[in-house]
Amino acid sequence: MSGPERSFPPPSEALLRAVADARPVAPRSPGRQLAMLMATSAAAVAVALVVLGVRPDMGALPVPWLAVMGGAWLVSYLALAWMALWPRRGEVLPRARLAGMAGFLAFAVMACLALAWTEGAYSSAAGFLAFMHQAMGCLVSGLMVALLPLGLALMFVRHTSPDRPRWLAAAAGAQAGALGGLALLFHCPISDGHHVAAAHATVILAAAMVATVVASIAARRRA
Amino acid sequence: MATEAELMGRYCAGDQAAFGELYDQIAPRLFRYLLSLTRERARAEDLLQVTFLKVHNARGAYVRGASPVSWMMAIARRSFIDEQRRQKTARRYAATHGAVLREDTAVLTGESRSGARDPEEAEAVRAAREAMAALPANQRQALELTKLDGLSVEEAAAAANTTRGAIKQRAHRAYVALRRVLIDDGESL
Repeated sequence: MSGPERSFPPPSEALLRAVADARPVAPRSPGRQLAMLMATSAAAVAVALVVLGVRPDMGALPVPWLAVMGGAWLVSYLALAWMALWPRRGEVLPRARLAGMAGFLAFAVMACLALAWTEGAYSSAAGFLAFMHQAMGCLVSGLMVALLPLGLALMFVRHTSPDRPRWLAAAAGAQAGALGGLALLFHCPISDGHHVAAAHATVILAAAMVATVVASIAARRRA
Repeated sequence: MATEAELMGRYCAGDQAAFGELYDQIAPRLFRYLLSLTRERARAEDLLQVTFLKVHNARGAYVRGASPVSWMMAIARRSFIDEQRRQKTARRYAATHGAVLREDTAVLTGESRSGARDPEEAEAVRAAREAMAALPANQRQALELTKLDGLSVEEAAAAANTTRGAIKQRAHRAYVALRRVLIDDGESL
């Protein structure tokens, strides 16, 4: 008498061999990863402010404005990092698409906030080229601050969302970009809305794009 | 019986027996899901092995205590999409270079193992299959995940990468459409 027929194929030899050769691995711990990311991010901002310097008009800035703007950047960073790494209860997959879209929303909110409410003594230089030169300087500085947290977040989220790797990469990049924007708030004295929107808030988009490109290249190599 | 989450935890810790149990618990659902995507048994069998190999390589991304089913479904779906793309590229290459691609696939016929079939039952199965095939892809997927694969709404939403509300709505629409085709139209004949 034959045993009950399986309605699905048994594991292949290659699979069984891979399982037999496998070493134990520690499952992903989103809490630990989030803590590591935040510690690294705090260190990156501190180092950036020591190296680049704190804005000269810091003492003269209105405290409510500083609190609101700093709080907005910080909340953007925390929310994006949380969404990129933390899955729903009982799930493995983080909310990739939601996290990615939140990155774009964070950019839009920070750009609008910058255009609506500015404080400070310094304005952008006159002329388009000078404006662009200053904006590029801030963009590059923001991306430099974002680089380490971005790399770390990408490392944490790889393999996590097989279905939406680019959205998740975008969120991982956006959180690092928001951190770059936070560092620029304390470093860059140029306070006019166009500069902050075009250079500081754009760090979120630029970092998200960098992360998406890196994730795409990695996915293509894996395939 | 150990839960899927417990088995996955033990498998990550290097317990080979846990992998066997996990495979026996999850492979039937994954296989049905892949069969619903590919509609070809041979391709579904290959993709099942590919999916488990990917799960094995990515087991470090598993979160302890979480249900691995929707995660594995997402990996299966990605594997299917990747394979589709590869086939498309190969077909394009073949068209450009004049090569002939031969695909050895066992097409799903729906025949019973004994080969014998009641004509009325065969007609009903054929009508059901045609009605399912006529559904929009997202509605068919929602119905298969929730009704055939037995996933919860949350798991189905995660597997299809959408929201709970969307899955419920799609499954309901699919159910209404099937009912209209299979029952209402049948009665009117």
